[in-house]
Amino acid sequence: MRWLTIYLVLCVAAWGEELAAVSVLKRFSDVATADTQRLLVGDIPSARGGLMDFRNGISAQLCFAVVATPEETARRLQDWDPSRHEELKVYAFHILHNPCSPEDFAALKLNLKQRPMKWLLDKTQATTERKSDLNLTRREARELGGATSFGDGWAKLLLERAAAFQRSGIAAAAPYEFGNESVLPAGQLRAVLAEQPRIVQEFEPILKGSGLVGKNASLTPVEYWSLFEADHHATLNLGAAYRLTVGDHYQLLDLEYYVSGDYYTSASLYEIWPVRAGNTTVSLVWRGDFFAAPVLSFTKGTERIAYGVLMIQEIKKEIRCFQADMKKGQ
Amino acid sequence: MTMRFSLIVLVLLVGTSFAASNPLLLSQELDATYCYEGSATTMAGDRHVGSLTEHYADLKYVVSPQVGQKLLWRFGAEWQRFSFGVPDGVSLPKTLQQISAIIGCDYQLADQWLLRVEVQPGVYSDFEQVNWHSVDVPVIVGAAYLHNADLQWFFGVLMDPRCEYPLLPSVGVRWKFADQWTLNLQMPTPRLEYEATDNLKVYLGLGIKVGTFVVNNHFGTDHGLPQLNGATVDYYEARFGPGVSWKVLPNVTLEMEGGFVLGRWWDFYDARLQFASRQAPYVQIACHARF
Repeated sequence: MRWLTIYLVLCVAAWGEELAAVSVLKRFSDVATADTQRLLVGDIPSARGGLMDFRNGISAQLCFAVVATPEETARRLQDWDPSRHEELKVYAFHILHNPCSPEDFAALKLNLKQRPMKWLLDKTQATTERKSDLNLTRREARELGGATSFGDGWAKLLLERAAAFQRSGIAAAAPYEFGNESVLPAGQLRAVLAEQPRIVQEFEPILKGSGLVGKNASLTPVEYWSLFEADHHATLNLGAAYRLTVGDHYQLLDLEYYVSGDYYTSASLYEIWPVRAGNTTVSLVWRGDFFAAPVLSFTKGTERIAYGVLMIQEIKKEIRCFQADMKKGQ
Repeated sequence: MTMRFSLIVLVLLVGTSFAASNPLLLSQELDATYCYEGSATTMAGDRHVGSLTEHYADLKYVVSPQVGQKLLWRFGAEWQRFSFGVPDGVSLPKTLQQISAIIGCDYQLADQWLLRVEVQPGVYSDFEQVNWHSVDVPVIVGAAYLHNADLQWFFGVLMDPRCEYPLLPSVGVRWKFADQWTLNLQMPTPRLEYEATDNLKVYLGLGIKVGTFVVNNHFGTDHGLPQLNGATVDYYEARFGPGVSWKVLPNVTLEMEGGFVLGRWWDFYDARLQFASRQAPYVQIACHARF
């Protein structure tokens, strides 16, 4: 009888955990269902974000499960290396030291036999102080044009941007000055998030801790640079991943404070809850992705719906790779 | 005609107020095409009936208000005109023309499935004499399966109750199989595309045109074939050639192509009379704007 009572108490506790997570989810999420059993067999329910007044913005939300504790999931998400998965087309991923140094970027090399890399080289070589298709300040464009080699030029640029971020946070991220107007990555992210009031309210602790909302950043992120393929173009980025414990669950914010081209910036928000699956605690993860890209201001109607659908497909691919790594314990 | 005009004005007014609330809620498409096809030997069965040229023009405007997360209406109009330089005495219409409204919707059926339904009620005739007999209502139903950014499948069916083959199905694929190469096999313009630069594509492909029209009630008598009075004619055309597509603005594309018309066919299927035109050169310019 005592064992039966303990069993029932455990069942109710597990059910209560899931119920609490689902009720929080319903408070801010557009994802319709988060049935843990379905998530554990690989289901990834998703929802395209609604149309925004901010024309450059697009968003998506997804839910998935990871067979690991929330602490382990949050820790691994924060410094996960996607370059091990060929299908994600991430050529290089490196964690930065704080303070960063030129050695952090020593591995930056382009394989010019690959067409996407050649594209980045061509765009770099075509860059002048007056004209560039890349996300640069005019000073960066001048210096990139005068660099002795492709790798040296980009390494110096990324080092300067990363150092500025380490000194003063995202507010110090220099603008992109070659579009129709000067664009600040932080401004783009804030504009996208401004249209998600429920999400901003839910993630207020980590958004404030990162300095993306408010002025004083209190959290220390894991910083990284990577070289990857976006829309068949090699792209360099600088990012920072923040982690925060909020009661019994975790929040993560992974933001790009510099992207070399194709789009302006992105941020991924995660909330990770513990849920019971049999005798073990697993993670129920909500993920929201927020992108800002110049091409979106011309993307309307069905084309925009298709863009959102394809964005979700790409994110699902990334999530499945992460789940596979967690399963293998990598 | 007045009613259709009023409908378009109403849609534009509704669209303007939509656009004022959020410009992304309203999308518009404008497509304009002009084509000249050179002189081609034309046969009626085995009998040579002369050579003919063709001017083709098409103007299409669609406005799409988004009315929900998954639903967009489509309202618009299309004018399409085939003008043939027909030698005297040949029983072919000098003009086949369509003026139609476009009423339809786009809907996200499932995570990766998009559906389009479009009805094009309008006048499809030689415009020598327009009456109720000239009115037709073809329906296009299409679905797209978005596998990923590089691979999408398309399935469609054209339903035209007046056509000899009232159901014309099609399957297509868009496959970006290499960084600069895309196999874009979407009807009616299946192509192999090469991205020369970010804004310039060159392509090699087919152009297929299909339409069903009605000729006037004295067409047959005028040509000594009374059985063709008020007859229905299915028209088919297939072309092959290279072209260039230049994105002059992020939302405006100009296209220019040339090549060979593989053939043109007029099928008065009720009267069992067919005409076929042989190969001829052609040039075409087109403009596609999305705003």
